[in-house]
Amino acid sequence: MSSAEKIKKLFAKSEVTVNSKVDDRIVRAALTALDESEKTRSLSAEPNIWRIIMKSRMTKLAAAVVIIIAVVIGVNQFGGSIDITTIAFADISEAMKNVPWMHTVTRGFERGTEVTAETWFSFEPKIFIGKTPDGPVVFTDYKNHSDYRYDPASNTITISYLSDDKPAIDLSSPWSALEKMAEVFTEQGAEITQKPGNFISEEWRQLQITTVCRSSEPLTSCFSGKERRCKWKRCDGRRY
Amino acid sequence: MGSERSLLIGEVFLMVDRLLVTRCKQGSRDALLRIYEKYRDSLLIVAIALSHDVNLAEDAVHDVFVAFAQNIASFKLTGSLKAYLARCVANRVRDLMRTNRSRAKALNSERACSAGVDLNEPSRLITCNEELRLLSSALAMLPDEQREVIVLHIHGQMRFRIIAKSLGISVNTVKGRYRYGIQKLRSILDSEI
Repeated sequence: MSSAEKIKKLFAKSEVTVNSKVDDRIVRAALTALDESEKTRSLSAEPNIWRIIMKSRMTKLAAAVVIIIAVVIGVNQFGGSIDITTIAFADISEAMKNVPWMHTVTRGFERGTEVTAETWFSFEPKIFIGKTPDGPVVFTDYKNHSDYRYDPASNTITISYLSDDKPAIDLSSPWSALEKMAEVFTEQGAEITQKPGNFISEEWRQLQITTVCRSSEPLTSCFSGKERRCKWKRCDGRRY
Repeated sequence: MGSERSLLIGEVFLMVDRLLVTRCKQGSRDALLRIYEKYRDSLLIVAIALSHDVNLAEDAVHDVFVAFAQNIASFKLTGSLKAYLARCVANRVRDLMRTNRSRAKALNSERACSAGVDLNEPSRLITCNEELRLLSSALAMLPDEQREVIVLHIHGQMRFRIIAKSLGISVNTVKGRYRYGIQKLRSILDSEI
């Protein structure tokens, strides 16, 4: 037997006995690190309409106005026209529960040029689709734990498994999604006005939400910050 | 036939590791635990063989697993996970030995393979069997460079080419270090084996 083989044999017979306290120490630290990594990742990479919108050129809006137009398909439960400025969110959320799809178009201006981000929401099954002006297209199927991302720059589709089937935004109804949009913009210091959009058909209804940043700063500063670190700066300069 | 089977088994091992890493990337705590359980002993042996110090070995393995978990989102497994982790442990051991200047102390101290007796540090409870004590003592007599190549090649199952790449030296230098190291080990261990 050669020297190398003898040493290999010695290595093969080598054993360590590890006390559970050592395991606890290492495992706890590693799991904490994993959780931290996961938190950062979920904030930075989970499908989220806000991330899609914010990642787009919309983050650099020079004008302080963003208009969200939501086209809701199958709202015949409303039974006639509505003026959503006079109705509380909760009052009609029940009526909108059975709406299968909602399409939103978020419009803003970047140095005088209009830019648009589009999203589609399905509420049962829970599906989210997002499309930014020149960014990736995202298709997220929460039921099947699948996430597809098309990157036009590299012309590739990345398919990944979603470990958590809970949507990043509330997809229980169109209204909860719109409410969340309103909430986020309000948090950013925006004032929101709502009005029914154009009446398209009995089964298609268009709503319009206009947000105006309350501060003198344009919206661009509301959403500034290092995205990778998942810290966004509010209008008041605080981070959250 | 036998080599084909070995290749297949190797592929299966790689696939299992790839699956564990993928699940880990998705935030699976269970997958991380399985990777830890799978490679803990092997990595501790690498660290002990390189440092001859169980306390330092434990710290190195701890740091490597924490860093692995922290950076899992951007981690891409291109080869053997065991070899990758062994290389990380070797790098960490080198750093710790350099920064702590502990090697000289460790080589002659009671900490070598017997930290379990240190009651003041109950979290450091790792003991080695006779073979590992013998091997670790013999390896401690080699220069760092030769010891690292031997440990990574034999126990870390890393090829000379990969070791050369990770150390930034030529393959011939790695082979030379291995050959000289083995010769020295032979003379040290001749009476023991």
